[in-house]
Amino acid sequence: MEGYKELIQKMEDAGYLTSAETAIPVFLALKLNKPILVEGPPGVGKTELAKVLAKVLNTELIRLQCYEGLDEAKALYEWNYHKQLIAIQSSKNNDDKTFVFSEEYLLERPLLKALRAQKKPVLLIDEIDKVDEEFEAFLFELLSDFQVTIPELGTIKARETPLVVLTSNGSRELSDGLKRRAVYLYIDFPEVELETKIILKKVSGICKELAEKVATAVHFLRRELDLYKPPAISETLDWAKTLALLGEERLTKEFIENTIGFVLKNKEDIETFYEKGGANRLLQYITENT
Amino acid sequence: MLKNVLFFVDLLRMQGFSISTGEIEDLLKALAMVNPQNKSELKAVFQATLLKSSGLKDSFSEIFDFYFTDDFLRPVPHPGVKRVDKAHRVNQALKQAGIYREIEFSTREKEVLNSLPPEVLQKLYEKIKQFYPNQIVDSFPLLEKTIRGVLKYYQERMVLPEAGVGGRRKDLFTANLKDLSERDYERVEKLIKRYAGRLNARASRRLKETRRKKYLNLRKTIRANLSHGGVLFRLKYREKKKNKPQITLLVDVSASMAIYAKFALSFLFAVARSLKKIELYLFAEDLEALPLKNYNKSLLDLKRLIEDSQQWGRGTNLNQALKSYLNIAKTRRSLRRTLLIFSDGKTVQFAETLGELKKICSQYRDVKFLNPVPAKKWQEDTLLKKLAQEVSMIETNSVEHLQAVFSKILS
Repeated sequence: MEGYKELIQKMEDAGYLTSAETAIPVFLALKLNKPILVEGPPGVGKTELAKVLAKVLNTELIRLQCYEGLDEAKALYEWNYHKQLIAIQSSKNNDDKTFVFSEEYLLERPLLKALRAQKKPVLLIDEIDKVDEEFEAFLFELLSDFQVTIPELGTIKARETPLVVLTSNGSRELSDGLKRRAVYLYIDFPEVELETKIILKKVSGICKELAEKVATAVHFLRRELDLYKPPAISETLDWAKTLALLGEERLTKEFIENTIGFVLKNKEDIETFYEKGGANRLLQYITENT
Repeated sequence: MLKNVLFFVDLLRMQGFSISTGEIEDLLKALAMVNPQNKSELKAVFQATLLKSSGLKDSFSEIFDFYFTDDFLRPVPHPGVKRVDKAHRVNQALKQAGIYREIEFSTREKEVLNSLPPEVLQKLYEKIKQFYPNQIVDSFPLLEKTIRGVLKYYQERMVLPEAGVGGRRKDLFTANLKDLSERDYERVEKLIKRYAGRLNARASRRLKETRRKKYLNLRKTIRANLSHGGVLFRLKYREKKKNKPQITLLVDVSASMAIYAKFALSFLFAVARSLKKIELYLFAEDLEALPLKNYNKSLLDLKRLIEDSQQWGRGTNLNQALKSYLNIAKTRRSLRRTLLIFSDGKTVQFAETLGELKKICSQYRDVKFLNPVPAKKWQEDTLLKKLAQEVSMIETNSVEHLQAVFSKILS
């Protein structure tokens, strides 16, 4: 890949519209062979970014979903104890001495799978902020040297350096050590213009004017109202699809009131919406800004 | 270009950004891949390599725009030279206003002056211009205080996280508790419940190795029996950890601390089921026990409860409070208890307080001093510096900090 503009084009071809601000850090991570740490509010396309990169690089996506209590046995490797037991018991009757701590008895988990992949894979470590600090520290060796040490087998180095995408919703501050090892990318909600393009690309049967109005309406909900959970891009798309499905040609008060649940999924947020002028205020904002 | 990059990194470090040499190396490699004349490309590269926290994004952007003009390659004056100039310029402006005295700025104040946005500096000069020296009363101290006040404000702004960055939920989690309004309480309560709930769940899941026949630890059993040909005759068990911690919390409810107290109580009550025993005291001039029938109270109720106490809003005498506590605890002291003192350390009889703290630390296995003053300021304050040397002091001024404190206690 020559430059980040080519990457933007390839990502667009794969169905992910993005800006230079997002593409440049991804491009740098690829060129510098470094992991990329993606932060941003839920629903801006952090996980989707990794999926699209796998498509762009025409490679396998290996995903490690993080949660509290995740440990090495579930993330890296585990010995196949049942297989080891059978091997030991079956070798009792003959002289064949089986060494049960060999690769044959190893169960690959996502991290090890990524290191042993034949072709440079995309390793998505999703919601890294959910894991315990100890596990985060354990990842250091993997992220800086792309190798792991298994006591019984030795150090395993990556055949091809994987493109590691770490995502975080910011539920806790990550350690400095982890941040230092990664290129940083903050994805915010898209501006109206970009979101209009996303709607036009993903929703069939919607005209440009209506797409722009939907994007402006969602922009209003996110920026002007103090919401607990701002609408995600996927929710914008669902709302736009509903419009197209119902054959609506414009955003009306009735439509907004009947379908506001597609974009606001919290009782408090719906109350805030009506307190701040409801559909009338929203329509007024759309008229003023499109 | 290298000189400009290093000056910029220097400036970021002054503002509290932690940047390693490795990151500068990455930045220089990355700069070779973009067009340095395109400011937005440049900014994205700097951001990707030097910025590592969404909370600092706005601050980074402000500093970048302030430092880099459209022509990146234009030589930029060294910050050290600018620093001297600005402090000097303020004193020159004083002279021009007819005040023939100078303000002696500390190094930190000079750094803040140096990084002030031009419009703020302009306002500062205007303020000096508008100032008329009074022939009868010496009004210079007032002006000096005003200027130092402005610098202090901006210094704090650089240290404390700004509200409104990185999504609402995250703000409430990391925001300084004193910046929260009553409007936020309901959401903060939810947040506290959520994080406390996680800690409770984690505490209830804690298992330990045991010889008693409880839960079979299959993984360890198989592993232990591999050397015996796989015949399972040595079974390994585990059971739930039962030793819940006991906590005594002394909360400062003096004027400067009352705003924080309710949040600490709320968090403590939310993790109560993972604790064996809680003892709770409010203090200011002296100590006052708080009855433990206040679980499930909202933040507003806790606020009212604190305001109804005899100690609320009074001056702090930590020495007296510790003495009273030691007196009460004489008969039923447990060495295994964790003692938490939540106070900003601004107390009368400081020397005596240190003595009492030493005594307490020698009697208890675990004493933690939770201080809402940002850790970066401890070194600037002589008293806090001494306090930090005597006792394990932890910066605690946000839900995030409270969660970290209780997470350690419950782990």
